[in-house]
Amino acid sequence: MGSEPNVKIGNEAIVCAEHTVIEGDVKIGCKTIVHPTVKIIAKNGPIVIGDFNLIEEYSTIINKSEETMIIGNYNVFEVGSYSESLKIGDYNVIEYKARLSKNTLLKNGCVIGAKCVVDWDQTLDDNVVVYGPDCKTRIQSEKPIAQTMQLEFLSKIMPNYQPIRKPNWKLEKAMAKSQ
Amino acid sequence: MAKVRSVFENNSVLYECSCGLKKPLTLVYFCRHCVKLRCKHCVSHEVDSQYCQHCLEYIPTIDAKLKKNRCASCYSCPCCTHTLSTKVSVIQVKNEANNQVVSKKTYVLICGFCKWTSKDVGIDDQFAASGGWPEVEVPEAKRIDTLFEYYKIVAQKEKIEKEKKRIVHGHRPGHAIHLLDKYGISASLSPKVTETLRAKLYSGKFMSSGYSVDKAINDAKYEPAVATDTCEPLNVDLYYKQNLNCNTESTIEQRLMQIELQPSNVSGFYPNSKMLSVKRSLRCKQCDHNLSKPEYNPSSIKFKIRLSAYYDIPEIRIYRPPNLQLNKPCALDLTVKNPAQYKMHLSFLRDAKALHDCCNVELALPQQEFVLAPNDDTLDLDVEQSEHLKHNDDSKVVNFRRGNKIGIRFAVTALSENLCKIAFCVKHDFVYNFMQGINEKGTQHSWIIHKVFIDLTPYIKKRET
Repeated sequence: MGSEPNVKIGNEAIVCAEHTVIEGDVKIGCKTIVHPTVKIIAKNGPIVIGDFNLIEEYSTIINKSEETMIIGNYNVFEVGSYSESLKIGDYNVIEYKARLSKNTLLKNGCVIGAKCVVDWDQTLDDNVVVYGPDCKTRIQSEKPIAQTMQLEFLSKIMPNYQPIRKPNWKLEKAMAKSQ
Repeated sequence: MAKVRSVFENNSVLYECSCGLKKPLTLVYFCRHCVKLRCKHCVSHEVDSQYCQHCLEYIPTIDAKLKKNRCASCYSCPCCTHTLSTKVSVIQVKNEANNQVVSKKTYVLICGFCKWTSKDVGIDDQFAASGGWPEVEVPEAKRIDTLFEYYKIVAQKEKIEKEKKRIVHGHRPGHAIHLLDKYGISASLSPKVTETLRAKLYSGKFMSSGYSVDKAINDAKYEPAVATDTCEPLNVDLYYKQNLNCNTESTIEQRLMQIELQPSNVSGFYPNSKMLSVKRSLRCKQCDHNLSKPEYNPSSIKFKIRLSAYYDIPEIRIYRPPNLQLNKPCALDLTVKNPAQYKMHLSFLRDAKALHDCCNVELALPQQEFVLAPNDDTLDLDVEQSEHLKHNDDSKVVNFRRGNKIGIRFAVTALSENLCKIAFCVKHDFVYNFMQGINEKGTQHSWIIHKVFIDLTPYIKKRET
């Protein structure tokens, strides 16, 4: 583990190494925090994760299709969540044990409630909340707040207790590459 | 979760209540005074106290009535009925007196489930943590109040007329609490209070007050409802031709939950005050003894009196799912558990009535009497192996004995593939110790016979097709 050449970890990102599985062409942005026991698997197409994301324990992000999976910034994947969604915008929250299928795309500020299994062939608009056992939806007035405090706290505390994979990629380089 | 439920809620074995209804043992009470099974329909329910199930605060009856049975400080989400919590945020406020910036705490109600906030409906942030949330004005409040007043007077008038009749017929005021209850004058009052109330009315005073009530009814400025034949025309286009946005339209459940406002749009949702819960005591309708009386403390789940059948009646369970074959005698294993502190003598009866309730089945009930050991909490500590020998059991009938539990086996023959219900009577003795202590004088022996129903239909082995 830790030697896959295709895994790019951005500047100041905290990616815990213990029981974490990161496979395939995965790019993790700056200041993103990946907890232990997380699975990020790019089976066929690559996965691009943006900046300031929080990916908690036992969550799975998996790309089974050929296309590129893009995850924006300031998203939170809570404990045990599972996502195959190919496009996730910014400020979304995937709550505990929620599941997102490949064709459900999120814009910004969406909340997928705990234990909701969302298998809809559609793009969820801004600020849509999915909640309850019947996966009801409503539109909230404001997008969820960014977990900046939590991210800062974790990035300070995590290296003290967890083996961390070293960042091997910087923003400037990435810009150069992509251009 | 389903497994836990099957342990505590045994719905395959039903007991017949004295009123004839069939209920699982956990839902039946046992009146030790009448020595009969009672279900929730055979007991009178009395309100003991009201409390909020969320903040666990005891609320006196009068306060509860004033606040329409709602808690003053707890709210549920108008969108998903989840309990709302208060969220604190700190804002910078400029003090106008000395132009200094002070940080101030503000509070918002938020639903952790569907993320509804009190900001959605335009309620400003509050500066106090609890209470102080603005109350919504109900558009029909005035009309409801006048109607309420009017009906109060009508109720009083009716009551006085009843009392008059009672005098004419020479009846003494007896059990007539229901009269007071008719218009919500409360089952929560204790019988003593209602009795004194009635005595007051009875003492001749009401003759004059009867007149004043008549006057009051005439004086009350009450406008009867007027029926009109003009109604809004139905706008069909609204339903068929417009694009409906499901996210802004409220559902029927949501509207009914806010019965006073019934907003058709999500933006009209106001926080819903939590309904109060009631602690009730149950009373046997026949002998007026209490069957269940909870403790007053809202956070306590204990009871002062609890005569659940579970504590006195032997519990019958299916030990293992029988494998029933058509027209063949098959073994049915049951366990019987003695919950009482005394030795129990139990036998199965073939009652003609019980047999009548059997459907498509033949059963060979054991003929002998069984002795069940008393329930002993320290039983787990000393396990005795030779219990089988001690009771001299027939090993064909008695499978095993374990403390106060006995395993019984008898033959059942299913005669139809679609239905197999067995019914039998259980006769056992019951010792009621009405004097606290082990004094033999304070005990009372009696025999109880009750009917037990077991539905074996799901266990019939279907013929392979």
